[in-house]
Amino acid sequence: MSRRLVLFLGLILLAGLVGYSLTCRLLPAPATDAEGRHRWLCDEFNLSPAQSARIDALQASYAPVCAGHCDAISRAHAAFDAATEATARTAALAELERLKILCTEATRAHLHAVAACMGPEQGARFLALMEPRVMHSESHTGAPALDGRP
Amino acid sequence: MPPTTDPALSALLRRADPAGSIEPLQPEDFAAAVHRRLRARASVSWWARLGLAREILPFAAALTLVGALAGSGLAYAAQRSHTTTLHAAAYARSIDPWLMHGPALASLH
Repeated sequence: MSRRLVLFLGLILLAGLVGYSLTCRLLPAPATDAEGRHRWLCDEFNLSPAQSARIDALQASYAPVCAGHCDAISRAHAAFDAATEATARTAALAELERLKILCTEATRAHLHAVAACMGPEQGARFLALMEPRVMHSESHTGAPALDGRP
Repeated sequence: MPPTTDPALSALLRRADPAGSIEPLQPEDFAAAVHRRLRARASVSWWARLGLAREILPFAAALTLVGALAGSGLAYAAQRSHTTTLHAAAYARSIDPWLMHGPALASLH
């Protein structure tokens, strides 16, 4: 009886392994380009076409803000690289720190605006998933903090 | 045991095993009978095994199906979790200038 039990357990395990490996092979690899991200957002948060269009409009209006911040960070980087004196380096680092806070606040505001386009439950889930990734001062998942913390 | 002379008992024994003889067997006949019985048991055993296999086959198939479904479900859940993490990170990077340009600051320290 116990031999048969072992055989059955082995059969289940083997079938499970085969099912696991086959599914892993057959599932398509996720695409992370702009279209893939958009599709993921629509699928993951069950967006209606109207909600999707509102979010697209928000993204379009946020793009110049994002680009402005990107430029400011690049300029601050260049200023830091060009600085030879300690005071200039400190000033550049302070500017980068200010930009980090500015970017975090702008990104959080954008995330909240996007979440407001979704249903309450989906919006809360979206914020719970996304907000920790853009909280650079507290989170460990984003860019490194300026004071050297990981 | 001496053969019975009682016709009633003889008939009763025949009814219990009509094919069997109640006459005492010679040693070589006894050996042949045992051999025959053993061979018969062996062949019955194969039939029994086949019958048993046929009996447990649906159960084994159901277990295989359950195992395969569980494995597939596990793989799907893992892939879905991985996809969510990947897309969330990509989406955050696409909207957060600090994620795009900030990591270069690591070289400043």
